[in-house]
Amino acid sequence: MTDETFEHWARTYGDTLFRVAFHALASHPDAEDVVQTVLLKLYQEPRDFESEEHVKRWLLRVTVNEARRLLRSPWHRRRVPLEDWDAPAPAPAESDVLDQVMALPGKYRVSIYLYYYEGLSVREVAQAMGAGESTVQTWLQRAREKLRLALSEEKEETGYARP
Amino acid sequence: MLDLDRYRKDCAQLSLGAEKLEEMIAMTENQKQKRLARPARAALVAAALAAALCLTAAAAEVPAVREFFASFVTVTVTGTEDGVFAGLAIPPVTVEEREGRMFLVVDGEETDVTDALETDGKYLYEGEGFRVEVDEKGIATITATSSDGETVMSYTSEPLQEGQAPVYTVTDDAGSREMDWVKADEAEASKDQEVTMRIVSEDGEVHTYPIPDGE
Repeated sequence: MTDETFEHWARTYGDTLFRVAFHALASHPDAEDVVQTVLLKLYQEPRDFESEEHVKRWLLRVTVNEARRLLRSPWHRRRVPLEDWDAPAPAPAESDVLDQVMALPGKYRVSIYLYYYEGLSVREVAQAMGAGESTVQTWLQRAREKLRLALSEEKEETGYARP
Repeated sequence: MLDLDRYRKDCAQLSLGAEKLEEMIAMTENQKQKRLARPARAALVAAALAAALCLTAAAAEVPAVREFFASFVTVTVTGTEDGVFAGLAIPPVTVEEREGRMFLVVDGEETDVTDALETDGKYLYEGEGFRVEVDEKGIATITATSSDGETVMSYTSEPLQEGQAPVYTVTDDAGSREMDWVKADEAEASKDQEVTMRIVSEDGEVHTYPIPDGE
C-alpha cells in the first residue's frame, strides 16, 4: 500500500474508527490506542481493497475485533471488568443523548452507533460485529427499550422530558 | 426514544482531532519494525516444523512435540536481531458447522460468519501476528505474520462437525513441506486412556505417537 493511499483512508475513516472504538470501550485513550493499532494493520495490509466500501467494512470489523481484544487483554482486565462488553459504562455525568447511549452495554452501544450514525443495515452491522442478524436486531431492540426506560425514569425524576 | 438528531450531533463531535490523526499517520508510517532477516526466520520456522514433523520413537522428543500441538497451534519462532527478541504465537483456530450456521472459533471466541460468507464469500479475522480467512466452503486459512507483516507460515483447517477432531494442512514458509496433521481428541480421552497424536503424511501413511501423561 502506498503512503498516499494509506493517508487517504486514514483521514477518511480515522474519526469513524475512533467513534466505533469509543462506543465499544467508553474510554478516550483506549479508543485512540485501538485506532493506532488499526491504522498500523491497514498500513501493513498487503492486499488491494476492491473499493472504498470494501476498505470501510474491513476497517470496521478490525476495529471491533481490536476493541474486543483490548477488553480481553490481561492488562485491561486488571483495570476494567472483563464483562465490560456486556456491562454498562460508568454512569454519565451529564444526561444528554450520547451519555444515555454510553450507559448501555458495549455491544448495544456499538450496534446503535453503526446502525443509527453510520447508517449500516442490520446485516452490515452483524458482519462488522461478528454476530448474527437476529442477534443484532435483538440488541437494537433491547437498546431502544433501555433508552426509552431511561428517558421515562428521567422524566419522572425531573418532571421534564427532553424534547 | 432516541433523539437521533441530537445523537448524531453528539457523535459528530467525537473526533480524534486533526492534529492527533496526523500524528497517528506519521507514527504509523515512521514505524521502523525490528525484523529478522527472512532466511533466518524461514530457518527458524523450518526448525520448529522439523521438530514437530521429524518424529521418531525417541521418547525425549515427544514432550516438545506435544507442546507444539497441545496448545494448537502455538508456533514460537525466536531469534534476535540487534538483541531484540522476536516471536509469534497462534491460538487455536477452527471453523465449526452447527445447525446450518458456520462459526469461526479463535482461542475459544466464537463468531458467526455465515452471513459474511454469504455476502462477501469470505470472512477475515485479524489477530495479533496472524490472520484467518474463511472461504465459502468453511475452510480457514491461517496465516502467521511476523512483526513486519511478512508471511511466515500458513495452514488451513477444514470445517468441523460437532465432536470432530481438527485436521490441519500446514505449509511452511518455503512452501516445500505439506502434511495433514490429525490431532487426537485429548478432551475426550479419559485419564486412563493413552493420548495419541497421529500425523498423516502426503502419501497417506499414518504415524501414531503416544503422548506421555504429565509431560
